[in-house]
Amino acid sequence: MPLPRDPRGTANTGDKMLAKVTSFALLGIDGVPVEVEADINRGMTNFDIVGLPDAAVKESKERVRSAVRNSRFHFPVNHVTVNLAPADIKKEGSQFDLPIAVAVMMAGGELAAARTQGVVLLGELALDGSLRPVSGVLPSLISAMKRGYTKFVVPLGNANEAAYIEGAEVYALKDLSQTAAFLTGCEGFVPVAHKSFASALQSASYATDLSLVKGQTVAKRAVEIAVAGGHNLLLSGPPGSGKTMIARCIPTIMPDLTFEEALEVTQIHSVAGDLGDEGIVSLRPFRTPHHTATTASLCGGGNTRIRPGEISKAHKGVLFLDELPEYSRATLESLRQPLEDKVITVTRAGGAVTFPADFMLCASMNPCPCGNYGSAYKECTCTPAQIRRYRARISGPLLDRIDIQVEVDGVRYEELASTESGESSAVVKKRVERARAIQRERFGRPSTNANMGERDIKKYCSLSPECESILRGAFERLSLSARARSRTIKVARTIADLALSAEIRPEHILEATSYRNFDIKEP
Amino acid sequence: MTYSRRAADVIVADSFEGLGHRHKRALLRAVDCDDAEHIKYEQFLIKSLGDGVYNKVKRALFDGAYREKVLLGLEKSGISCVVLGDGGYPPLLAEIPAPPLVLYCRGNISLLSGDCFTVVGSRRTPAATAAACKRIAGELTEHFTVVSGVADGADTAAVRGALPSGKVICVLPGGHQSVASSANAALIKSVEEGGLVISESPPQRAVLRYMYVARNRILAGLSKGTLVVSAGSRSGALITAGYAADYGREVFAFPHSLGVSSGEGCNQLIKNGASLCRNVLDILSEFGLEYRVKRVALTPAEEKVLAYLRANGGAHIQAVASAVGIKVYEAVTVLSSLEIKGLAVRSGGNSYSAV
Repeated sequence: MPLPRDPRGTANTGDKMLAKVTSFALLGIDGVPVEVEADINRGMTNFDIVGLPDAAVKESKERVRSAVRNSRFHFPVNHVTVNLAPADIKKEGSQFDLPIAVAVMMAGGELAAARTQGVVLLGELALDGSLRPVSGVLPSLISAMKRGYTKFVVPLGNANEAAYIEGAEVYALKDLSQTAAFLTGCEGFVPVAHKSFASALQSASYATDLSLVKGQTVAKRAVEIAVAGGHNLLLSGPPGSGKTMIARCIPTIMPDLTFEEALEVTQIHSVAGDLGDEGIVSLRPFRTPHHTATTASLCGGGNTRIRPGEISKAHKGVLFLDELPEYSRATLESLRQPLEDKVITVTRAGGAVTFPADFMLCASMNPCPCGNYGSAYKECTCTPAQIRRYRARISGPLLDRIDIQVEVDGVRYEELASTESGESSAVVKKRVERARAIQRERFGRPSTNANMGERDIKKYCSLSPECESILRGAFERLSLSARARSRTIKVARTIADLALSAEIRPEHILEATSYRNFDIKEP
Repeated sequence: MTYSRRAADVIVADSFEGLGHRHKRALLRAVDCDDAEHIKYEQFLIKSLGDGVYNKVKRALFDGAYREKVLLGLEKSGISCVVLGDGGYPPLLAEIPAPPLVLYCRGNISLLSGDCFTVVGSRRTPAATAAACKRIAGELTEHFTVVSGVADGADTAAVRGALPSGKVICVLPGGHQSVASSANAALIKSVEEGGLVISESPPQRAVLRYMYVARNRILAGLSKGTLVVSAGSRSGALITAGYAADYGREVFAFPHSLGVSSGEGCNQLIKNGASLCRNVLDILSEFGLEYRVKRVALTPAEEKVLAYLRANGGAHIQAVASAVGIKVYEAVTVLSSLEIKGLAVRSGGNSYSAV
């Protein structure tokens, strides 16, 4: 492709102009337009970037200078000033390399003919002028589209991520020379072809399946109920009983992500910079932070650039906390507010950012310090006081938000070796989707039973006198705590939905009371 | 509460720390001028305690201010005393060697004069055994006042079982104030309100290891019989059973399957001649008492499941489901219902046992 070179740009004639291009900065997962202005003045050779740039942006000076020269363009030798406006937002990340380079070249007369009006430029430059992928392209694109921008230049490596946005004219380019050619009106550039989400959904599949879990019928049933009603889940069982395996199957029976949900999830992962090659997250996330995780890594944080934490990365998916009592108390308590509000607001000196955090919490733990309490095959060596202390590490308010508690049994060899397989995830998923559809109709919006408040419970979960007496009997006989009551009713509602029953029947209440082993005060 | 002159003497004598049971009894006889042998006891005390200590103790015993302080302190903490030799003192307990001089009581003292039966066991009692213990304690209250300790596991299960009837006595190892911060403080509180909590130590006395053994003699001594529901091979419940046998009271034990460490002590007791106890009838028939078994209405599915549990001693929910021919989640429903009716209990994991 021949490069059209402006005659004025070839010599250092002093015929300079002010140049302006548009890029985007990120605040949380929202994009904010940033005008990149470049001006060239008389004076000592210098290159200044102003407008609250962070370290990565300041360093872009060196990358830009080399990239411009190595792409066989002329870099102005006078006093170059680049301003990133608005000046009061901190600019972070390397996506400003490309707009800065283009603005400087325009100001220097090298690209005077470039038409950058209405084009959003994003990209990091390598020293040889090639474009490197950057994080946060998708959220920037979405915010830009909302503001009326439709034309984008992004690095080739971000092409997949940009392909799912309908109506966007995205050019994924290889290097600075290509960008120059494109901006000066050369023909032959084709925007990235739009990809449909359905095809991405079709090609993606989970690595696990419920049919691979042997035995564990009780736990599987509990998982099905939990997913159907959006209830949080606690699996307790001896070591090696397959708690993690069961938890990994949870996303496989959740309804497919809708496109809007997928975009939201992808935005978060794009900001976090851990988006894969597919360009869009089409499978429900399953996040397993280690128990040494800090509050900041779980909830999000960062000094200048606030990044989403694990709970946001688990948005619309599953947050799996293995060995729940091993997490620090403060970390666990920090989950309470996002579990309630479905968003997390991270506040730092630099400002506050809100990330979505609508996840299903699945936790696992041993029943006692030695792990064998209640095991049919091994004897527990713990005293009741030890068990009490161990369980007390999980606070009541957190347990309050976990509707279903179920025991996972130690697996016997015969079960592992058996070839008979249970239901596949696809079959269970069908039932879950049916139950979710009932709930959508009930609430008039995509909500689940787990989100019901006291008023909703009164409205949608009226109990017959028989159910009421069973519930009362259960509370007396099993010494259940008072706060277990509304949880039991919510779970019973979900069981009724799975059974396609309009009213809650005695058997639903009875089954719901069995998922509460933690609430029993004493034998 | 007002005490007779003699009762007050005993209570004040009992408040001296550092004096043993023998010394306290000797002191009471030594200061009693009507006692023909009082000189002999005085000499014994002077010989074993020394002249100085004896005179100090004697002075304190008759010091009006000190007496007032002791008696008022007890009254303030809501404790009433039952003194050895008084009418309210449990007659069976008075028969044992070295009976407590004073029983410090909180709650319904009239329970002391009724027939008592002791139910004890290990802290590490399996859930199914604890449930059976709770149930049998409840059934025993029809004829007896249930006596137990306040440890986790079997003791608290027995107390919980008997508490609704109000016929329950908890015997503390230390003084009443020593349990204020224990994990079972709430339970003790409700026994004080609904039943009776007793101790042989003045309220401030902290618990020392030997006091558990001393307490066990009271557990055994109060009752006509003692049931050990669970006990390891070195369990404290075996000491209680040993005392009961020494005092000539009936000893019962739950049988346990082989290889269960929390049941070895019980099996050992049965081997040594304790009566095997499967249900409340085994105990009551020994005393010539009757018990009317209450029938609970069951659905056909519940009958089947219960029969299977009874036949197998306990089973995993999956085994129950396949044996009865229902789905697992239907079995969950049936078993929950049985649990609420008090006929089955979750014995850990997803296994259930019949009670």
